[in-house]
Amino acid sequence: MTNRRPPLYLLIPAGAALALVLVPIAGLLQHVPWHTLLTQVTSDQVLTALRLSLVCSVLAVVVALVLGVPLAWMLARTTFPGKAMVRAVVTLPLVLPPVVGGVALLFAFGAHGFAGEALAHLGVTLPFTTAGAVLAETFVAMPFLVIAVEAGIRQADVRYEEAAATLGAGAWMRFWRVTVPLIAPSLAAGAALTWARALGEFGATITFAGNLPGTTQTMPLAVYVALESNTDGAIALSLVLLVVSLGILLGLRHRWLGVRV
Amino acid sequence: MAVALGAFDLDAAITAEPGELVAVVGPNGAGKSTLLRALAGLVALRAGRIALDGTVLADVAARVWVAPERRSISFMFQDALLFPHMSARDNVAFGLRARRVPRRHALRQADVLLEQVGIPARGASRPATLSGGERQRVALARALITEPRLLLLDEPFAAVDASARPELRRVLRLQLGRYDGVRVLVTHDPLEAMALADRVVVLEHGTVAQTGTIADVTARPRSAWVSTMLGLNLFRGVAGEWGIDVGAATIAAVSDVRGAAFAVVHPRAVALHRSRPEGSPRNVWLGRVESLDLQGDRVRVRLTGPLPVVAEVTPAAVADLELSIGDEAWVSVKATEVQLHAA
Repeated sequence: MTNRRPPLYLLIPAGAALALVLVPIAGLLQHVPWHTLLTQVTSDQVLTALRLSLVCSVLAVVVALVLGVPLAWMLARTTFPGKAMVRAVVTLPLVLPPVVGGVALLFAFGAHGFAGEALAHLGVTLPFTTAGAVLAETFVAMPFLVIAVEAGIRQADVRYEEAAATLGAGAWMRFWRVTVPLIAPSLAAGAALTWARALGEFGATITFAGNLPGTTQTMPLAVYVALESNTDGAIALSLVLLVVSLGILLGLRHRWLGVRV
Repeated sequence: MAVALGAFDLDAAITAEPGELVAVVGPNGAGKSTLLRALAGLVALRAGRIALDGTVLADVAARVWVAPERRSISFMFQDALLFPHMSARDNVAFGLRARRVPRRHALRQADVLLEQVGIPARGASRPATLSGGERQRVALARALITEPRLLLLDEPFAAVDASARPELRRVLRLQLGRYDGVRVLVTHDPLEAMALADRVVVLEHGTVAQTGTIADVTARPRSAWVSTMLGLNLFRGVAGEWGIDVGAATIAAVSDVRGAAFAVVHPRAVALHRSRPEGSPRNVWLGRVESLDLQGDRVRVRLTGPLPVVAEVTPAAVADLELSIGDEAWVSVKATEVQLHAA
């Protein structure tokens, strides 16, 4: 049954779907300046953007882990009024256009936003700073972590935590010695997806943090800028992002939403 | 104590003396596991009080609640629940690590415990690579290492192959014998209860249907379930070719069980006679009627003698034999009706 040749009316749209993804990539690959690739990729502009991208995306993952894991635990293991609403809000950045997210961040954390004014009293300014870029990336990417980790905690048998409690382990030890190791695969998958999403973040970052080389100009922003002045550089940068993204997806293929490839 | 459950509530008062092994038996869904979970503090009480060695662990009226990790208890779970990401010895050492015992010392103690439960070579193994019987032994070692005042065992044999049960039962009896705290064993298997416990508490539909020593409950079962499941004659002894030597006598039996064993004889398989019977039964002896209990359409006759035994006969048979308390009666049991189980 499963080995039957697929009918044409399925095969044609399926092939078209694949082509939809493959054709642009082929177009990109066709214009890669292979002979100058190394110099392009190692130019100051690219290296600066690459370094900043790595710093921001890693920091975004750290913030997402510190804040997102407890939130995922709350969603998986506790009941509270308005939980469905909380889950919807938490996953909102997944469907919200990133630019809208950036605008919202700007109105909240900007000089005239209520959060921005409060932070200004503490001497902290976020817009157009590297910290702002991290905030924008975290805002957009954290839902991936929360969703993956919540699913992992749901699947982890709560009775292991009970067993640990009967052996004298307090909440802290139960969490670190039992829960975290049990959900390690989900944590890794969630962190990797979050990192990939943060690395590719464009809209919210450019809106909220701006496009300052060395401070907020991450790889995707550099690609966008380079497209107007240095096409070869833009393509080289794109290729780097493409390889990184594909590598993550292949590495996660067993964990990506539980689908085995 | 009282615990709110879905379909019905658990409402039970039980006590145990220090060093006593109490078996909680009852049909599936009677609330046995919930009782253990309440003792451990894994479910909240709706009402009632739990005290251990004079320390109050929970008292709803006085708003006292001690968290599970602060109770001097250990819980041996039905399916072991060994932490899958830790080796056997790390699992065993967990309770000591939770009590801030240095890692090296905890692991050394874990090795001692693994030796005691008979699997010294499996310390480095992950739970997934252990057999069901080995997993339960690791779970037993993990539960015993903290020297709890109360040891809770929830169906320790349920997830173990029938072939591995006698050995696990032997290890369990040996280890439980060394342990001086209170032990509460939950089981739906009456043989297990009879083999290990000093006293049984029968739980049916969330309430205590009967409690007493094994001999009491066997002789005077107070419900249909108890009668069917626990109203059995049990003799402990050493099995050989000819049957089983139970000390006062030897019971002929047909079995390939050898060594320490117990014999189970259903009361229905025990026949009573006014004069010494002649015929095929291999086991014949003279007893004295101690009590007669009418239970529905049967009479349970309890006899003393070289082998105390309970017979289940019809009221008509009692009338025909003109049996009354204090009378002597001949008892016979066919060798094929004696079931031997390795202890």
